[in-house]
Amino acid sequence: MSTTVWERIAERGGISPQRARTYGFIYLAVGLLIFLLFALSTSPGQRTTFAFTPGGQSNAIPIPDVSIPSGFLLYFLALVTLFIGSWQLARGFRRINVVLGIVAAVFVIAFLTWAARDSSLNVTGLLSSSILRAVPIALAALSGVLCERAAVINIAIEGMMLSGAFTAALTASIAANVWEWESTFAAQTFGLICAILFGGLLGLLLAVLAVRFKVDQIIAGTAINILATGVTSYLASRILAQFSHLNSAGTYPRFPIPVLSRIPIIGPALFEHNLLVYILLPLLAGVHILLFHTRWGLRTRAVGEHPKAADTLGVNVFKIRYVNVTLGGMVAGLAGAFLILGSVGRFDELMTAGKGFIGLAAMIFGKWMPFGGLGAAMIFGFADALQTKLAILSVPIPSQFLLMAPYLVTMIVLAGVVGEAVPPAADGQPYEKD
Amino acid sequence: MTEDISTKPQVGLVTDIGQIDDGTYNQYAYEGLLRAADEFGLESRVIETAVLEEFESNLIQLAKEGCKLLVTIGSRKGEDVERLAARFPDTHFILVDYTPYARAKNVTGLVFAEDQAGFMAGALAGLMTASGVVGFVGGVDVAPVLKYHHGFEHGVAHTNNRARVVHAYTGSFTDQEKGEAAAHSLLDQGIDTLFAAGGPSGSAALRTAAAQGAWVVGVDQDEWGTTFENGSAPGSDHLLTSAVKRIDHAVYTAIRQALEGKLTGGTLTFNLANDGVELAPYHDADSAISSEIQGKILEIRKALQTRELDTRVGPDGQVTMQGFLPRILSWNWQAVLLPFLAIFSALVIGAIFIAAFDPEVWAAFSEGFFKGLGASFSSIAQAYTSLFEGAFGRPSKIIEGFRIYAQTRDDVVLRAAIRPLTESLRLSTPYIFAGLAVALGFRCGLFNIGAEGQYFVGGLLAVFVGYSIKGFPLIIHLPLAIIGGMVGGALWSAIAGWLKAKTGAHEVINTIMLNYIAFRLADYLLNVGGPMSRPGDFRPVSPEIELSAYLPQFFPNDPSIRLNSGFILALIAVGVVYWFLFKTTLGFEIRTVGANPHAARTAGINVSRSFVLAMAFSGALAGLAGAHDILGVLHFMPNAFSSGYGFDAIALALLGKSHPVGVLLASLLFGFLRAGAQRMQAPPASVPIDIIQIVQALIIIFIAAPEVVRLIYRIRAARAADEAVFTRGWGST
Repeated sequence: MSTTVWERIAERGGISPQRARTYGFIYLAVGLLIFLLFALSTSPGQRTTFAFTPGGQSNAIPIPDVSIPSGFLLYFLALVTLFIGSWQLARGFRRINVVLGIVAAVFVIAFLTWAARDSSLNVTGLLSSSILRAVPIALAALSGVLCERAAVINIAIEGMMLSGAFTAALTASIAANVWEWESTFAAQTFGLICAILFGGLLGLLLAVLAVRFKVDQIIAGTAINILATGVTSYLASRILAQFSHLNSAGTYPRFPIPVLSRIPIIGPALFEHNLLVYILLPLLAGVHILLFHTRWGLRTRAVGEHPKAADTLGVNVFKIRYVNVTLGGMVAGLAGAFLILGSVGRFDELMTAGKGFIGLAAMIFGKWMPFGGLGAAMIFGFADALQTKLAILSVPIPSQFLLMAPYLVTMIVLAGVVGEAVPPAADGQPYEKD
Repeated sequence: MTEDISTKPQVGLVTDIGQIDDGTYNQYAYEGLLRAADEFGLESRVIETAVLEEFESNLIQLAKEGCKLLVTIGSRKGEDVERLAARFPDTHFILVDYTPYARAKNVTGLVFAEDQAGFMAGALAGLMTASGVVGFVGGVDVAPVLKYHHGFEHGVAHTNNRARVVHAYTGSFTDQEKGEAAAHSLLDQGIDTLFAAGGPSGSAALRTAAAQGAWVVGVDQDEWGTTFENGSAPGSDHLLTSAVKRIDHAVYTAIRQALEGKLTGGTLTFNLANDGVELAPYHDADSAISSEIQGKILEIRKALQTRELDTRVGPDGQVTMQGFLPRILSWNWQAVLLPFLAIFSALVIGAIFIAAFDPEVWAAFSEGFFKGLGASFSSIAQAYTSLFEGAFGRPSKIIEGFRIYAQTRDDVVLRAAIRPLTESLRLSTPYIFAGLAVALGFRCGLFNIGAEGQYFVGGLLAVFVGYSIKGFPLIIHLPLAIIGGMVGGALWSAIAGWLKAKTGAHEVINTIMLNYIAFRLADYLLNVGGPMSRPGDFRPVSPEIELSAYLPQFFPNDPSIRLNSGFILALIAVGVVYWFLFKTTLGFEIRTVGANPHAARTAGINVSRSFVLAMAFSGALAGLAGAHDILGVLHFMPNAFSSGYGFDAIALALLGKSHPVGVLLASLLFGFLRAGAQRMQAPPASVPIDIIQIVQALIIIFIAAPEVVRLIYRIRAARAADEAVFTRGWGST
């Protein structure tokens, strides 16, 4: 009879009995981990302070820090997780992904509480920096969505970002320091536009190789990646290394949004960024509407799912693919420009460090949806931000392991731990007209 | 189950589409089977295949029901049968008209010397023609038809060197209208004798030509009895003879050999010498063929039998050339020309990069256009001269070195002169390993972008074994360290293979992520104070490995020449990978999965296992690259071990068309390029080494898109290119 119980539990969550059981045991294990690793290693007097006002200047209405006894909070969190695990095993949850998210969040909070015992953790700062790190990944994912919805795999996002970053740094610096434009803002915007255009050019190159010449898309993308790495590194050591005034684009100034930025916690986390960060949401919304509520979007998806049928109905498959991949390249160029103008201000060789590939993982995790990609990018951004915070908190974990976190998260996500990902049906296949 | 009914051993026949009385292949195979069953007391079982889709399930049915010998026609789905055979090791599959790819013990192909039969038909046609023009009609240009065709041409030339052979292919074995049309077009060209090898399509051509009064020669079976209905059909008096393939005899012989325990896989060839092919009786045309001609044909038959006379047709149906020059001319030059042009074009674009970003060139251009042009030229010349000298050394110095060595036995100058050459070979070594790694992955449809990470982990394990084990002799310690490198790489890549097999996660992203993780891992282990760091050193490096783990050097007395026995190891690896891929069952399975995972799965190949194994082997090779650099060159591991081999290896595999020998050649090229680039980086040329990456990326693009190269150089496509499928979309396994 026991099988029927499992089947009933699984039925509630809409997953296989075995999987439901596995989740239960995982939750129990997480609870035990919190208990054994974190709770037991705190001493009675230790307190964790959560700060909610970011360092530096901020418009937000200040709210006081919260200080909690570390041990107490950790025992509580361990109990919560163990309860969730037992419930999953005994009765099962209906919303399986939400619960999984909650358990993950509890584990992260427990970890932070433990890491910041006898110390203070700036929650708002952490969130703010997560968002800053999530933006390029979300843009990379969006680039992937644009291409793959039209069934062209764009593995060259990394290279396009790198090229975009290089172009932005160089052209903005030329405008500012060679042509001596008065407005830094204008020079940076010039760099931004150049980066987007150059990204578009590389997108076009990929489209020509993949659509016109029917080159294996992953190989074409890899070639573009190597080309971008080679060209940017070559030019960096030929030009940027010798003329440092050609590599000083700087970043856009912070632009706190009036009123909204005064809200505690959310204000500094979301509304005290530079202009480029604010571009993200309208861009995602725009692409979402284009994809799902316009004729162009319908055609794109048709080309991605069943190009032959689309062709029969008079859609120009090749044109759609050229346009989409070029647009995807432009977005990737923007993502690269963001690394310069939105965060670092100068170009370094290989500065993308796999963000383009992580963006692809975010795209898959986000099920080929613009906002899905954003959600996934937030997780990666958080892992990345966390890693820098922990280095400051002197956690007894070697920093290299913390640096691995975003890559490990990517692999776990790709392994489909959270739901199955189904790509557009024609993804990666060149189209041949009869 | 059926064994209860009958204790006789069972032999089975599954027909190619059609019934056992089709008057050709199926019927003759059936007759051979019946004769054997009768003679040796076997129980024969037959399933007639109605549609192609049922073919495989019919075979499976008979194999499951206990048939120990299964005969079928292999021309259409032979590869599928071969895959199937792996699932039924106790059943021996006999395939008519098929050459097995892999050497399995339970698959035997029966092939025929169609060229000999065609040669005799041609000899007769050459003697019979009055107009001096004879014709050949073929169905589809598959090997058996080509063998008939070329054998026929050579036969005609043998007996009548003034006769001309014209030919036409219908592109079908069934389309009778096309056969008739082909006959008409050849008749218009003046033929008075026609040989056709094209199933019913060819037979239609024969009927048409015979009705018009031309001599005709049938094929495969005695067409007097089939196409010409035992002489009752019009034109049967114009049927000279038929080039017959004794399928019945071949099937009978194969079954007999199997019962005698002599059938052990591979191919059995049936020719004139063992009655596998022959000319049919002349029937109604007998009186028209003079006894002189009949005697001549018998002479030729004998000469072919004793191999005195050669048809000059290869087993693939292509004309075999004699002499050096014709061989060279018949070569597929595009296969060599395209990679060469790809490399050349990449170097040209590289030259543009060199000149365009040289500050001296800029300065010269500001003084005048022609000065600028001159400066560009000298900039490129200087760079590529350095590249050449860095790769090969200075020819004059090498000659000088040899002269001094010959006179004084002093090799100092010579050693200095060949140093660049040895350095190029030394740099080629890890390329060979890494290129083989990616090529092996490609063969399984896997894109291993992570050779870099596997190189790292392989290096880590090799260096660990190298320094931590002490007191062993070289003969034990060195192999241990090398195996360490292989295991490290294999484990690292197997993660990605396993994830792909289990969850469908695409190996491209996973191997890239594993690269980054490997860098961080190495950083942690080797960082000052880390678990594998050198005690008391302020640099992030591992301890020195023991002398007993050094790969022996070619010039032990000259440390500046770093070429070592790892190069030999790499050459061995080329051979081993070739053997593995093309001569073992596992290699065959991996290639099958690479060609079509769905078909492979239906055929019973464990696709998941193939993914994991191919990935692990691939990683082991990449790990060997790391082991070479540690054990043969550096003798310790620095934390900045990165090399760029991972991406280069992709270019190598593409350039070498995923063939081990191709990879070897490509690796030598890249090794020389890299050695040259190192020289180019130094003054006077001072070109950043990244230029090589640009060149490599362009090579990949040009190789992967040969159309681009054809477009640039206006080369027409040679034949329908058989370009390999390398990768597929996300998660499609």
